[in-house]
Amino acid sequence: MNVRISPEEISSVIRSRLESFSKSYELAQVGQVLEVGDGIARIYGLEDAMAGELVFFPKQNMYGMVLNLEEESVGVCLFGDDSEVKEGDEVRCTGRIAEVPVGDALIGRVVNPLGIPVDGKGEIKADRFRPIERIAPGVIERQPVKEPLQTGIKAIDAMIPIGRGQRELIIGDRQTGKTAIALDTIINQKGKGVVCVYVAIGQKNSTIANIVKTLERFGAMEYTIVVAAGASEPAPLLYIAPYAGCAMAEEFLETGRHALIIYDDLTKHAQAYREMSLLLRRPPGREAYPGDIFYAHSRLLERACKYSDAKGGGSLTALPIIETQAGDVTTYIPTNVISITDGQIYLETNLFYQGVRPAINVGLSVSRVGGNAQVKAMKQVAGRLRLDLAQYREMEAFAQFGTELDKATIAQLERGRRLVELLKQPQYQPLSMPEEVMVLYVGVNGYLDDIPLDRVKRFEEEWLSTLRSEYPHILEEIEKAKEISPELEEKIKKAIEKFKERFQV
Amino acid sequence: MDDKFLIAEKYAQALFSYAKDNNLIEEVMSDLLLLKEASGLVPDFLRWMSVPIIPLERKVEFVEEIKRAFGLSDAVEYFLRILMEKKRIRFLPDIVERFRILYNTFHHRVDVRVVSARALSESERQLFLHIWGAYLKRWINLVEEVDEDILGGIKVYFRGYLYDASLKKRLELLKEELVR
Ligand SMILES: Nc1ncnc2c1ncn2[C@@H]1O[C@H](COP(=O)(O)OP(=O)(O)OP(=O)(O)O)[C@@H](O)[C@H]1O
Ligand SMILES: [Mg+2]
Repeated sequence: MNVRISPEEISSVIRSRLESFSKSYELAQVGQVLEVGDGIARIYGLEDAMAGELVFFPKQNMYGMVLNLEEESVGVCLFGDDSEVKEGDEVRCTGRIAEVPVGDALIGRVVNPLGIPVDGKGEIKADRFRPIERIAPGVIERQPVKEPLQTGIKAIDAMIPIGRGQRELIIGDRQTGKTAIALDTIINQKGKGVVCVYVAIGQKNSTIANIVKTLERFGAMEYTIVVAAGASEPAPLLYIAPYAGCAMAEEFLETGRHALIIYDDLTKHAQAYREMSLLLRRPPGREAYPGDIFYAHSRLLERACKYSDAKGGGSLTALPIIETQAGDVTTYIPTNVISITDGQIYLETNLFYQGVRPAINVGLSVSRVGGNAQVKAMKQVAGRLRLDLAQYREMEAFAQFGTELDKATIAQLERGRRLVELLKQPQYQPLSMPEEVMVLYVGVNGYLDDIPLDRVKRFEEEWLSTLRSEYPHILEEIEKAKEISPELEEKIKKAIEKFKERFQV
Repeated sequence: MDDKFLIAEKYAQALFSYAKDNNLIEEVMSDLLLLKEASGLVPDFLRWMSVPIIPLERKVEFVEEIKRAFGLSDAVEYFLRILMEKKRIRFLPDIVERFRILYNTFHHRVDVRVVSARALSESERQLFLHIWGAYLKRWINLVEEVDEDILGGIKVYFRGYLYDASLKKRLELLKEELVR
């Protein structure tokens, strides 16, 4: 870009813009603040205000959003310090729905739910805005998910596969590794053309800062937007955070690209909404949540989608996170969100402390649509894996009764134990699809049966590094063909046998 | 608080329709404005009247005193007693405000507040009343305000709307247009 623009040219452009500028006044509805507190203001007047409309407080230079429409007044949540707003202050309708800046300029940035940067890296020059709420795409604009969204986590990609455009819930008690799964999934999108949006709702600012640091460390901020609504922010900001993040992600969906959005977590989102609704004096329902909390979550998650080819074929995958208490998924918010997602990854404290990490309960976790998107090579190993593990769980229950076990059963148990060991995976070490396939391949084909349990992890590590250094063509072929042909399988078997000869227990 | 407006509206409407049927609109309006002014000057006045430990008879006596002092009409005196019995006296300022709006509507009048950067001249004022009176098809109760911040032009508040033709607004709109 070496084109020089002369000052004369600039002034002539401005001049012509000025000449065509005709707007000389503005007509807006105005109202007065009746009462204010807890981030909520009640406004007298504003008869034509729409639900969700932005209103402006000129004296404070602050915005708010209309939430309640009553006969004589409207309830507004404030996107700023409520102590500055006084009774009698002027409020104006803007005729606009709350919107946020969107586009590539946001990538790599940490913003608040209004799209204002909070990372100290300067202004964001966004060229476009999108309303934070919109009607989800209809049936004809969609198509079933067909491409996989690789998490890089063996247990998930093999047994709970996620497709691009799917909504998969991550659910579990506190400190069970929910965020870890989301972060690994983001880290694994490197070079895969998926833009990620991580929405942090009601977390401590220090936790959010650590997450950003982690993403930076793995080069993941290069394709990620973080929307931060910390625990200290007013409830209305927490409430709009997921919708704002979704609008940012939709920009990529609409331009035929792929996006992944994480809502961490919707339990705190529901609590923020409950707090707001009680302050707005809406009638509380079950567990004191407002009656439309289900709608609040369903209209958000419905916006995840895989577009038809006619609409550009873009996708928006959503991974909402829900925190449970003592593993109870039957309380109000978990049951709601389970019913509006396409499956769930269920994490358990018990497993976590037994050292099974990620602490996924494979029996209770499902993915209802992702199977269609799973590549053939993965299906070739995953079928056996699921079967072996199911049998293992069944027999393990038996074995606990101390009954005499026959040889075949003992063999099944040993196989199962090794597979469980194989599915353990440390944080920040996502594997590529071919690597996952090759690791699971040795497990389900019995190559680990004679390896002591406590050597399985080392076996995996060494097998992986051998593959990378000596058999990159095997990995490449799986990546390309996406299946294991009989000829390739021969090569794989030879490679494993050769490796096993060298492997020192 | 929730029902403040509904309550004020109901009482104001009742009083207004009573006043209208008995040809007392002007009298009641001026009494109410007097009371509102008094309650503004002596803020404790309304609070005292809503304290529960003061017996109702004492309050009634007090209202009679006020009636004598201000020369209130019987209608307004009786209205005050009802408010006191129903424990609604603290809504009096809001009721007066609602009554005033009903009164304005009845007389085809409307409140208009005009903000200008400097005081309006008499000819500007007449022009304004002429144009806006025709536009709103009402007589105008004009309130004028000077605010140098708007730089020039005028801002007009009427019936819950703001017509902003100030120089300041114009510059803001221009800025938005240029940034785009
Ligand atoms: N696969 C793993 N291997 C080892 N440690 C892990 C693994 N996954 C998570 N952890 C560790 O477990 C702890 C909890 O993880 P994380 O913060 O992801 O859980 P969480 O469910 O999101 O917790 P919270 O309820 O506080 O949000 C962290 O210290 C994390 O480093
Ligand atoms: Mg977490």
